[in-house]
Amino acid sequence: MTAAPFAAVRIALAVAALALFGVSVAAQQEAETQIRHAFTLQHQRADDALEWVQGEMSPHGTIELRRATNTLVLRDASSVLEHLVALLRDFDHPRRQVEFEIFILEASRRGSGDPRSELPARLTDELANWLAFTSYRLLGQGLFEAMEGEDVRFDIGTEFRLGFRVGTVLLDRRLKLYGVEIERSRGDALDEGVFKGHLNVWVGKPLVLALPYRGSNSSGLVVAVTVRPSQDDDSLGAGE
Amino acid sequence: MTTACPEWAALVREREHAERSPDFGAAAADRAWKDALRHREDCGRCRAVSLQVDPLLLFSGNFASGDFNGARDRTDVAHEVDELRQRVRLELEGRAAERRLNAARTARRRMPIASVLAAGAAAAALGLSLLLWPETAPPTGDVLGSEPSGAGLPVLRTAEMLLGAGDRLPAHVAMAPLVEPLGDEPMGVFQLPGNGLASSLDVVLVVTEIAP
Repeated sequence: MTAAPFAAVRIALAVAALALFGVSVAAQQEAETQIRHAFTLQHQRADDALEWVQGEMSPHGTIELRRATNTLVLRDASSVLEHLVALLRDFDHPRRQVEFEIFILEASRRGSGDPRSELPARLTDELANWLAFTSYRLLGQGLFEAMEGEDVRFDIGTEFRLGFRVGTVLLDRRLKLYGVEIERSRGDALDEGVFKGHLNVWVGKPLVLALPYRGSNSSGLVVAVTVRPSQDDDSLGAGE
Repeated sequence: MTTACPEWAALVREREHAERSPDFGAAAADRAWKDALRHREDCGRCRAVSLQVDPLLLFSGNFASGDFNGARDRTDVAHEVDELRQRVRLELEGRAAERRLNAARTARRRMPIASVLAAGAAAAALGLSLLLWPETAPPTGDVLGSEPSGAGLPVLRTAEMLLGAGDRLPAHVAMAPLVEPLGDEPMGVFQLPGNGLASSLDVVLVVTEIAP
């Protein structure tokens, strides 16, 4: 006599359970469309590539970095994966040489000198739009070349030292300079940190850092960094 | 004569409001602002407080007070200052929006597919045990290939995919900030005027002061 209600409960539970199972199968089917692909980079660093492709993954995608083999293991939907691999192929180009032009200037609003006297002409017009300095004094300038991936350290003028690791030029347009450190040394005094950070520069376009002096409203340093394709390497286009 | 320290938050707010009004330059308000800036030159406390309210005052000096030596028209200068502040505000709002977006992404990534599958499997097991159905777990989808060089991926080319890797920078790269802090070190940075889409120069104001 109690068999009938028990059977009804059993069937109801079974239907509910199977409905849940259907949902889980659908979710799993979505996961099944994901495929895995290992991409070993031949020329550039997988660490840097990770950053390059990470932002392009789908919300369900995963990426694993294998430093020992300079490999990225990607898992994502096949259509996304195709895109990621295309990006990686572009990223993993043979290392190129790039040229760095750097100006370090002391800027002031109190001087009455010609604001353009010591700046390259191409920098001055726009600088005047953004910075209210009225005079500039050149403290150092340099023109250097380095390879993608290279750790570099430049002396600029008599007081400044600049170090960073050159990243990879992305689609001929952007380049990340990792761990940029600018130090200033004066005489026997300990080096003073002027700037520390990563820079994402546009190829062919000056990036200007304005750094105010402590306690002063009217003077500071201006550092202008321009990255260009090396004249020995015409595979890199200039500008955006 | 020593003047009292002004209330910088209110002063900067009023100044920003005044700069946007058509009768900007009204003598009284202008005098109050100039007096405050002059007072700030000799008052360490005001300098610190004012910079908290408006870090761009680091770059203002004579620029903001109008006592500059250049030949530019005063209204133009005021307009530029206003533009700077607008951009800083946009930048800050943009960062807040980005944080919200990242939080949403993280939450989505935390969507427990594995637990959905586990729950489904448990439910299925229950249903099957009740009805004595045979187990029919679907095959697990997995590795398509693990290639050493990335050269041999099965070809599923579409125009869209090829375009993505051709001459268009992915948005996260195009919009990457010009300056990123090293590690967790805080860095006060204002990027102007918008990551190089229009100007021939990128300018970043670093609001961390350095030794003169």
